Formats: sequence, C-alpha cells, structure tokens
Amino acid sequence: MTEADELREFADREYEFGFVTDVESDSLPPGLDESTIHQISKRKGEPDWLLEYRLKAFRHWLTMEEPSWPKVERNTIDYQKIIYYSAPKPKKTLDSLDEVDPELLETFEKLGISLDEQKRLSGVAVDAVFDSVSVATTFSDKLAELGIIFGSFSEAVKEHPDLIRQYLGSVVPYTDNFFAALNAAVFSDGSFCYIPAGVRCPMELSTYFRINAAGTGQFERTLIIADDQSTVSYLEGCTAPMRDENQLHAAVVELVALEGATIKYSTVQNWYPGDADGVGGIYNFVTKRGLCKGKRSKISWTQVETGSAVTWKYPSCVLLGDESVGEFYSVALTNNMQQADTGTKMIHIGKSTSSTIISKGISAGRGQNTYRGLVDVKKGATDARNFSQCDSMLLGDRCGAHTFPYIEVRNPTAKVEHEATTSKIGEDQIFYCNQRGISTEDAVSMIVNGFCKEVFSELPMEFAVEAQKLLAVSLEGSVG
Amino acid sequence: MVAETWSKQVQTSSLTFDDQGTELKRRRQRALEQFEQHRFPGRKHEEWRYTPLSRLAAGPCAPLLESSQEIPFCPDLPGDMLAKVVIVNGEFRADLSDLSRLPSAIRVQSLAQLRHSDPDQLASLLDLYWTQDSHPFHDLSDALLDDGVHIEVVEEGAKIDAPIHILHVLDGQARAGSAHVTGLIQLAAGAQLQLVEEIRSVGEVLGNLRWGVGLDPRSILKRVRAFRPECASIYHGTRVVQQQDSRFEDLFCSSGGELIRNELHVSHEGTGCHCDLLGAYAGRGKNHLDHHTTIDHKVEDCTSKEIYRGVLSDQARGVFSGMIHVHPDAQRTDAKQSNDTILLSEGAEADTRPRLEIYADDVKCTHGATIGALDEDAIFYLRSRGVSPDEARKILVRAFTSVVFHGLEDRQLSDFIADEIQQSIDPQGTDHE
Amino acid sequence: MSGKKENSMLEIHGLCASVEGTEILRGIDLEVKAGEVHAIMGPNGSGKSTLANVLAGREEYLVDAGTVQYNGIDLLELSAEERACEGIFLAFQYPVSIPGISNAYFLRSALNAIRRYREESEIDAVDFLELVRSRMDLVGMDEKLLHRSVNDGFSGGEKKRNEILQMAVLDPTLAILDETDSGLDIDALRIVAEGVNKLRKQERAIIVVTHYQRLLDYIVPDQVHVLSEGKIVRSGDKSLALELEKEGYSWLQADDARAGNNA
Repeated sequence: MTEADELREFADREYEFGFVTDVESDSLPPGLDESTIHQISKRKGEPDWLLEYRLKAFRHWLTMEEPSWPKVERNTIDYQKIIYYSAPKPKKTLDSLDEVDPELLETFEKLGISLDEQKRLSGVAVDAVFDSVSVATTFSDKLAELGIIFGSFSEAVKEHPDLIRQYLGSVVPYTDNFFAALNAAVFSDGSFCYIPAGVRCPMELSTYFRINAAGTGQFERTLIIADDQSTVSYLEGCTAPMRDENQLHAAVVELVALEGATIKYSTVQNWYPGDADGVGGIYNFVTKRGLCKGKRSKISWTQVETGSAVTWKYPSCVLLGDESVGEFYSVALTNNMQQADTGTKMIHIGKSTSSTIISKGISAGRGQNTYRGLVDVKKGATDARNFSQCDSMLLGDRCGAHTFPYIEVRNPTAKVEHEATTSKIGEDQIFYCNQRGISTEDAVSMIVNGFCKEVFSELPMEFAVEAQKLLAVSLEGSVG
Repeated sequence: MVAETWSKQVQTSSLTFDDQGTELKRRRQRALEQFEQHRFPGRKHEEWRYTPLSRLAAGPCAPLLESSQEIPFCPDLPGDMLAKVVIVNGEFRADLSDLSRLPSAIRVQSLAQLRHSDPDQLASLLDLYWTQDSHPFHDLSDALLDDGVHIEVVEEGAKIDAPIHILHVLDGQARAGSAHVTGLIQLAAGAQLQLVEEIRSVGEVLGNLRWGVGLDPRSILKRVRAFRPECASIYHGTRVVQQQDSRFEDLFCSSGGELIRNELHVSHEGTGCHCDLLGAYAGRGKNHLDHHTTIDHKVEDCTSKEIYRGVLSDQARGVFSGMIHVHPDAQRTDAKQSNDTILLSEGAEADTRPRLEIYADDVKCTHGATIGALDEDAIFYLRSRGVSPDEARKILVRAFTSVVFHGLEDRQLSDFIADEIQQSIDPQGTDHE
Repeated sequence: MSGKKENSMLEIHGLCASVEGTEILRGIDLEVKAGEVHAIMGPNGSGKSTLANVLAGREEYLVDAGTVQYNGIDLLELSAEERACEGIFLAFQYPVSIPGISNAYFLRSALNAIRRYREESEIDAVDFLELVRSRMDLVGMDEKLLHRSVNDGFSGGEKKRNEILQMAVLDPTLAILDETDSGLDIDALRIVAEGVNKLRKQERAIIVVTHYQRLLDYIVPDQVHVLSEGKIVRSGDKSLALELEKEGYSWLQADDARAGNNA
C-alpha cells in the first residue's frame, strides 16, 4: 500500500458516536414565531421578565440578516423547519440520578460519560444536556457545600433569578449577532455556574451536550461567573448522531471573571461532521465571549475542534480590568468536506492587559480551515501586550488553509506580535519514523500531535488524552 | 449628497471624450454606470474597511483636464536618469519630458496618442489588467480615460541600464480637482527596465493613477516609487502579470499624504516567477496611509518576498492588508510577508491584516506582523553617547525603515529616500519629551 | 573466508537503482556476515548514500534490477517499517526533526512498534526509561535531550549521538551508518565512534558509509569497499582505506583511463 493510500484510509475512519437513542421526547412542532417562544417559556415555567427578554431578542432577530462573511460554503438554513424545543419525556419528576431514564444513562455511558457519581473519577462534576434540556448534574450537593452553584440553566433561573438577571446578556447582548439573537429568543437550557469569592473550585466542572432528536436545533446557553479571587476550570464536550440533514447548533457562552478570578474553559468539540461527501453534519455557529471585568482577572479558552460540518466560532476575551489576561489555544481539524472558520477576538481596554493566541489548523481531505482573529488595542489600553502564533498544516493537495488576522492598535505603548506559518508533513519525517519501525499512520498521527502540543498541554490531563485520540481518529485516511 | 456631485461631475466630463473605438466607448460607458451605482464603498465593504473614502467623496472632484504651462517646482531626485517623462494633472507633457537619449529598443508614447491612433489596441491592453469588476478608482479611470503613458521594451533581451524617471505633478493651485492617469508597461522576453516614479503636488488634488504591467518570460522590471504628495490624496494601483521566470521588484516609499491608497496586485502566470514588494512609509498629522497587496501564486515554483514598514506620529493612521493566495496547482511556492509598524504617539493608529489563503500543500508561506513603540533601551543607549532624544528617535526610525531599501543598488537614491522618511518624522508629533 | 550462504546476513546481487529517472547504482554485489563491519567509501555522488537508503527502503529510490537477501528473506519486498522491525537500522546522514514530540516518546513508540511486530509485550514507561538511561552513558548523552523534541534544535553532534542512542535502544541486527562522521568535530567523532564500537557484537553486522578514512581510525572495519559511479570498484581490508587516505579518489579516474582494470 502506498503512503497516499494509507493516508487516505487513515482519513476515512468512521464517526464513532453516530448512534441514535430511542427515547420518547416532548417536542414542539417545527417553526418559529412569537407563539413558539411563549410555549418554550411556558414549558420551562419561566418568569415574565425572561419571556420579555426572549421576545425582545426575537423581535430584534427579525430585523437582522444572516451573516455571509465567514469563508464557508453551506446550505441555507430554513428557520421554519427547525424544531426549537425537544426534551426527553421524563417518566416522572426527577429527584435523584436513579430516576433518570436508563436509556439516557446508557447513552452517556456509551459516550464515555458516566453520570453515576460512584463510577466517576471524583475530580469531575458533569451536567449532561440531551437535546434541549439538562438531564442530570452530578456532584452538585458536594459543590453546594462550598457555595458553588453548578447545574442547569433552567434551574438557576428559578433558584438564582437575581444572578441570572444581572448577568444574562451582559457579555453577549442579544443584539450582538444574528445567531446570538436567535439563541436569546429560543434557548432551552444549558449550564450555569457561580463560584463565590475566594473559592477555588476543587473539581473540573463539565457539561456534555448531546443532540439526539432529528430536525432539532440545539440552542443552549452557558453562563459562568467567577467572583473575586475565585478559580474554576470548566470542560465542554459534544456529540450528535449521524443524520443526512444539517442540524443547527447555535449556543451562547458568557463568562464573567471578577477581580483576581480565573476561568479556564476547555472544549472538545466532536459534533457529527457529515459523511465523506459532505452530506449531513452539524452547523456549529456559536458565540463565546468572556469578560475580564475585574483587575488581574484571567480567562483562558482552549478548544479542540474536530467535528461539525461547518464550524464558525470565535471565543473571545474583553480585557476590561487592568492587568487582566486573555488566552486562546486552539486546534481545529477539518477533514473530508468539513469547513472551519474559527479564531478569537482579544479586545484590550484596561491598562497592562495581555493576551496570547496559539492557533493550530490542520486541513485534510477537502477540508477548509480558516483562522480569523482580531487583536484590538483601544486608546486607553496602555502597555497592552499580545502575541499570536497561527500555524497551519496541510495534509494532501485538495484542502485549504487560510489565515486572516486583523490587528488594530490605537496605543503607542502596545506591543503586538503576530506570526503565521504553513507546513506539510515532510516525506523525510515519515521515512524517518518508518525506518524506526513506526507505521505511516502512526507517524502522521504523531507528527500532527507534535504540531498541536502547545495547545494540548493547556488541556486538563484527562481531556488531553481524549483530544489526542480524537485527533488520530478524525485524521484517519487523510494523508496523501 | 457629495457623492451625488461626484457622479454628476464624472458624467459630464466623461461625455466630453469622443472615442473612435467601440470597445473603448463601451468600456467608458460601463465604468460610468458602475461608478454611478457603487460610488465610494463604505466601511462595511471588506476591501475598504479601513479606508475613509468618505473623505474623498467630500473633496474636490472636478477632473483637471488641462495642465498649467509651468510646473511649480524642479524635480530633485538624484541619480543619472536615462529619460524623463513628466505628466501634469494626468497629461503627458512632451514639452517638459526628455526622451532624447532613449535607445531604439524602447518606445515611450503618450496614452492619448495611442487612444487616437489605435483605440482597439488600447482597449485590449486595458482588458489585460482591469476586469469589469467594480472598483471606484478603476471605474473613474475608465470613465475619464484621457492620457497617461505607454512604455514598451520591444527588443528581446534589451537591457536598459539607467532608470526612466516618471514625474507626476498634481497641481491644484489654480483650482482644486482630480487627475486620472493610466500607465501601461510591456517588457519583451528577457528585457530589463528600471523606473523611478515620483509624485509631487501643490494645492488640493486627488490623484488617481493606475499601471498595468506585463512581463514576458525572463524579463525584469525594477521600480522605485517615491511619493511626496504634501496635501494631495492619491490612489495608486498597479496590476502586474508575470510570465515564466520574470521578476518584478517594487520599492514604495511615501512620506505623508492626506490619504494614500497603494494597491498592488501581482499575478504569477508562469513558473519560476519572483516578486519583491517592499514598502516604507512615514505618516504625520492626519495622514492616512493605506497599503493593499495581493500576490496570486497561480503556478508552481514561484516565490515572493514582501516587507512593509511604517512609522506613524501625530494622529496618522497606517493600514496594511496583504494577501498571499496560493492556488491549487502552485506547489513549491515560497512566500514571505511581513509588516512592522512603529507608533510614535498617542493618537497614531495601525491596522494590519496579513492574510494567507492556501490551497496547495507543498508550500512555504509565512507572515509576521508587529506593532509597537521604538525600543527605549536603544534610545537610552544613543542618549548616553550624547545624541539628543529627538535625534536618537530619528536615527532609530532610519534604521527601522532602511531594512526595506537596503537592497537598492543606487546608493544615492536610497540615501535620498532614507532622508525623506527621516525628515518626515515630526518630533513635535511624538509623545516623548 | 567461507562464502556459504547460510552464514551471510546480507547478500546483494546486481543491484541497480535510480532516483527520478537518473541511474545511480549500476550493479552492486556485496555480502555481509554477522559480526562483520564493512566500510563503504567513495567520492561524492558515487552512490554510497543511495545504497544505504535503498537498503532501508526509501520509496523515492527505485530498484531497477538485482536482489537483496537479508537473513534469508527478500528484503526488497518489505516496506521501510517492516525492514526496521526485521532489525535493519539506518543512522541518517541528516536526522529529521519532529517538533512537539519528545525524543523519549518517539523512541518508545519505535521500540514498541518493533516489539509488537515481534509479538513481544510492549515496554512500559518506567522500564523504558531505565533502558534508555543505561544506553545513554554509551554515547555520553545528556538526559535533558530525552525530553526535547526529536532532533529539533539539536546541534550536529547531538543529532549524531542521538542516532547512535536510538541504535543502542532498538538493538538492530544490521546497522547502516550513513556518513555518521559528517559535521562532527574530532571529539564528537571519537565519542560517537566509541559508542558504535561498544555496540559491535557477534550477532550484529555494521555497514559504515563514509567519505573519509578518519572514522575508520576509530571503527576498524573488516572489509573496505570503494564505490565509484554506482559500482564497487575495489574491495580489500582496512589498509585499502589508508591507501585512499593517502591518494584520494583521483586514482579512480586513472583506473578508468586504464579501461577499468580494477572493475
């Protein structure tokens, strides 16, 4: 078998999480108008102010146009054909994990996410979101002892309405962009997390998102608030069944770090990417933004993007507090017909703020991978620092790798550096590995992992191993 | 409203041309319609995101169709020039030009001459470089196509040693307005040519200049552009089509300018091409210096090197947008691009957009960008040796920008440019004592 | 003395090979037995490195004719990694760097790939580290290098030592050292050569490809072959290398002029 064949075969491995769970669900009919929003809000038993918020967002959304500037080609989305609310039908009210539908527990087991606290490593608390709703949260009692609130967004609306009212839309207002407005109108559930002042969250908090039902869109909303001098590390994972249609995932994530607080947000995104010919797959249009509100606060985004047919997201940091720090570490891999337009925005407003951007794009098959990022140093951002490194690797001659940084500096004391390189895996590297007994497939995977090392080293240990494996699987059959 | 005035003025002026060729007529008509429709794009348009065209729209527009008899200053570029072409407000001035020493291998004529003698040839030459896509300045050039220059090296392998000096004079003393110039350059296989292009201005003028450059196999064009536009606004666009093993070297220097948009589009159509795009710019006051380059690597084994360096004081704004586009078959492309900017004052601003778009895997492409202040340690070092802070800054600016032109063989010219840049740094416009 | 087949580890007959249509090897015959050290010498462009790469299975080198038997198997049928697993080791003239992958991780992956091939159990990280440490002394290598990316930012000497360390860990049957002396100063050369000498043993054969005689002062060969224009034009014992040292390679042309008396 030639090297090219091997690489191709390597790239053609199947998506592992494409199964469908047979579970009865309670869904709204497809379509979107004000009555849909009334129904979502009613089903969730929401207060009036939240319904008003949704309706305002919806009315604003109607005035907006779907953006066309990302460098992606895709089918148009018919917003009237999407199901905006779908929830697994509860057998009865849930009081404990034992009462969660075993079908659902099994689904998450299959995905490697055990919701059984006994079986889990004690270091990670999980909020599992199935289609539109949160089905289970582990370890919430233990966390509550420390004053940490971790659970579903809907619950938080009921139990901590003041926090939600104060912070919802404070980082990503519904006017921000088309998909953020849509999300604000129809979001169904998601995770909420509050770390009180001075608390270091003792375990990783994790949300696992699963799209199951056909024809649904997933619109979750995550809000994390780290109070003064607190620290939290949050992980997010996601999968979806293999379907011929394109499903829309339009989430909003808002992070708020107060004085001296640190939030580390890690994502391993493995939505169904569609088949080798580009049929089906998730449209992953997500707005993620963190506000470093307090002095010396820090927000760090780490993402490993291997799934989705089209990924379009820019986890960003607004560096408002003096001496605040923003970080973005990203590995994005596109294989077959996948497209990714991803990057970050670092908005320097406070004094002595600093940001780091490390982006590794890997293109294989006919995948198109675009880094798009903004470093914006405002007038008052004295002594701002940014370093950006954007590297692309191309596997095969049918893919594309693109780098579009935007750098805007309005302060003479700033120091901004940007570097970008493009490379391929050298035949000499493969031969060197072969000569030491390592197969071409393993060699490719090893070299790609080496290329991504700076990003993987930012991930929590457990996730890093998973990310490396995922990368190897996603790359299968790609070397040519 | 102001844009309204523009399009009326352009319409009226355009009608004064009596074209012989139908193609040329059609081109003029289409450009008129396009300009009428799009006028000056706003910030929402990605390609014009950083260019405040609204400033131009509000400025003087009436095309200056006649040039004054005298030019308001003496050209003072150093060095031995083989010939001099003087274009005043867009008009090729045979009376001020000196073509007496040109060898027979090279032909220089006014574009107006070509427009009258062979309008169809002119139309087909224009088609080589400027497509029908809407572009406000190219549309204006087409709608108001009048004069300019046509330079051809017709003899294969001819090596023209000394440069031709092209001087554009933009004279808005008598009345403010706009001038539109089209230049065409064609080099035969293996030919070599050097050009030094200079822009000088007085009064309030918009200069709209464009060049189409065709390089046959193995030919080499070296061009130096020195812009000292004072208070003029300038669009300067160059479209280069390179054939196999040809070479294009461009050095752009500007000191000041109300609004300058420098556009370069180089297309590598044959294997083994190389281009150097070098630029140094210094802005002060409210200068807006905008640089847009695109290199299309279409075929295998081509290389490019691009370095743009800017120094900004007062409230000057510098923009760099550089695209390296590697097409699917362009294996073994080697492209390097860098843009570095020094900000000397609180009000100065730099926007940088280095871009790579790559569709071939066996390539080496890098870009880098830095924005920052002068190295305070270096300033201190110079001060400790007795140099005043202002002088130290000037020296460091000179060192910073000279990287761009130290490959220039003509020492006299490179010193001249370095002086220009250094002098255009306004010590009053920097933040330091 | 004995030419019996069962004693030969490597038998090359009439080997011709080309790169991108250019013929480089034009009929090589060579026999190497276990325990022996053979030196292949010759001027630049004579085909020395090509021979090393063809034996290691580099795909850019096309074998046009001839056979290569290695321990009774047809070597040319095997892929590069299969040859490695069968015990062939090439110390590269220009070792390749792999950014982001530590030397230790790389070497353990290689060792485990070979062990899997031989249906042996994989070695765990602790045992591996112990093994590597014991071998590092052999080449006087700093342990820090283990945790740096493979050959990335290594000096010329560090790269060559690293090759010998890999050889010591992977324990090959046939080691081919391709210009291992190039780019080394005299001290580094001595250390590398001493490392190789410690790895000489009865079950192992070593082919040393070199342009200069000086490496052979340290690694004393059993046989020396001179390659010119893709053919072995002379073979002899170690004194042949000394002769070459004195006279250079110019006599080859002189020989050609005498209508190839020695060919």
